[in-house]
Amino acid sequence: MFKAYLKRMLHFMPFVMCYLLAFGFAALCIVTYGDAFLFKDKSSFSAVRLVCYLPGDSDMNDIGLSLVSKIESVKETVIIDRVDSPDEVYEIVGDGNAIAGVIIPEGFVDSVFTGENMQAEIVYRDGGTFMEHAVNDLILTLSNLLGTGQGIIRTGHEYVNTTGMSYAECEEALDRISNESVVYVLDRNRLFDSKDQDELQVFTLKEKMTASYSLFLLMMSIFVFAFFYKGNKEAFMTRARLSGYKPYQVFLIEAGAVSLMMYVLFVIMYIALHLVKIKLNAMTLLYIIPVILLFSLVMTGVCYLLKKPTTVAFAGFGLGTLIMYSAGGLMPLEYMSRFFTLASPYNPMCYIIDYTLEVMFG
Amino acid sequence: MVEITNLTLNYKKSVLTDVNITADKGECIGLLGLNGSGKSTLLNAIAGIKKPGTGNVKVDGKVGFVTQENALIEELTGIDNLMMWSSLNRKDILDAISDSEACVLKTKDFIDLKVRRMSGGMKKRLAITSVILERPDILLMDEPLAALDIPAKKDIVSFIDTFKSGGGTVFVASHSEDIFAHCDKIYYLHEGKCELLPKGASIEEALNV
Repeated sequence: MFKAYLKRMLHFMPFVMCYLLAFGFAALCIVTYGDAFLFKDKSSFSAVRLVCYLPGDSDMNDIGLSLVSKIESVKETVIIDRVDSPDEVYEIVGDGNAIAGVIIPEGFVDSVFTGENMQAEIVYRDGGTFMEHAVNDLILTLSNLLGTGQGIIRTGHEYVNTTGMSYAECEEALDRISNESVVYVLDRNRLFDSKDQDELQVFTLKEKMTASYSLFLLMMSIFVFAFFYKGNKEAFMTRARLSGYKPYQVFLIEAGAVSLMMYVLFVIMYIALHLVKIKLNAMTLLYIIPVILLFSLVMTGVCYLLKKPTTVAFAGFGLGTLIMYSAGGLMPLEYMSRFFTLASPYNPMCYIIDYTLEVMFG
Repeated sequence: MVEITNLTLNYKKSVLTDVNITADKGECIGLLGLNGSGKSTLLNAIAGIKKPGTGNVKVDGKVGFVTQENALIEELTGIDNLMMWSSLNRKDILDAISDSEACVLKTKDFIDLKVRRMSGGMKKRLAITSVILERPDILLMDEPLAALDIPAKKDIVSFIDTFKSGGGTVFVASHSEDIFAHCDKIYYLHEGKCELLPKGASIEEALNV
């Protein structure tokens, strides 16, 4: 029977190729130009919540925090909650109610002038979904802004006290200095300007999308393979049983045949990606096999449960898209609502994407 | 030989109670009944695919089952389909289908054609050929003449006669009168019961009951 299935696969491959040509081209476009869409407009960032602890009860802290919160790019992207103790920072971040926290140590402002350069403590959750370096950049920027803002205000007050400058004159000078300083800090970190987006982040995004869209293409091949199965037909199984085949043998033969076709599909994808200068590890061709086996077994199972090819195709498309989307495979989790970020550790597809990413790019 | 005694069976919408049928070698048994009366269920029980609730199905010999839907792979040729189910090689299959029993079906004429391009009659003849290659003693046929043209019907009916004359037992479930004329016994399935139709009784009358 396996020999007959091998022959059948040869007849089936043109359909698989047509599928690849149609869906593969669309996926390749998304992978190639996806970053341009995602980073085009900074408003596409969803707001993240940060908690911040500032020591003491000084007005300067309030003014500094207020200054940071009013910066346009921060206002759009970051919600800052002030808390009363470092423990609260740990608790809120630990509960997942804030993506990260900043703990400013005692004497932070003074250290700005003494050169001691104290470090703000950064707490973030090991969600594995929000890119670590993005959090670091964001929090570094905020701590810089806080330090800069507080330093400017403190300097202004000292000027008022030591030089006899009026508050109106001082305010005017502070406005100019603070604007320039803030622009300097923002420019230095280049976090919020999409055009200056860290190249590493873009590259990471491309890698992840290449991995996830490759998986998505393999998953969606159910559209073609749903019509390949015969073991879900009662007449076929009756015939197979009377010829001495056990149902599980037919199941395994069909799953094996689909695995082989899926593997050919992946090899073609591998070559196509190389042609467009997306280099994958050579060992990908070996390490992808467990993923393909898993997919083909699940697909065969679905086909045996739902029986009708059209039902299988549409159910496969709907469920597959939902699972892949919720795992951040179609759009990075960073751009989706917080629910998906929190739910992602419970989605097995996340781990399959991570595995594939590791296999493809190391 | 097939002996069914006090068989009770529940499957999907069909319910069969207290079925008693005996079929000897060289006999053709017709199963008559409306849609959903349990004809296919009964054939499945004889083939051993559905287990009886109570009662006993005793089958002496190898069973071949020609299902209503053809168990063929459309993308492959006729010979590929035959090779899939048989352990014989191409040459042996061609020899086997040339013997007196199978040649009635004229399968050799279209054996290299892809199933996708075959007519309904060709497909049915190919399906029957694939079953008889395994040399069954008992042949079960579920609606073998459904949606076939007259030449195909004639070929299949004459195959049944040949199979019978070779000592084989045939069970055929059908709505077609053409086939019942060749049956030695006809059982009528109605409301879960299976009754032997008296010789000379009209099939139309039985179906109108």
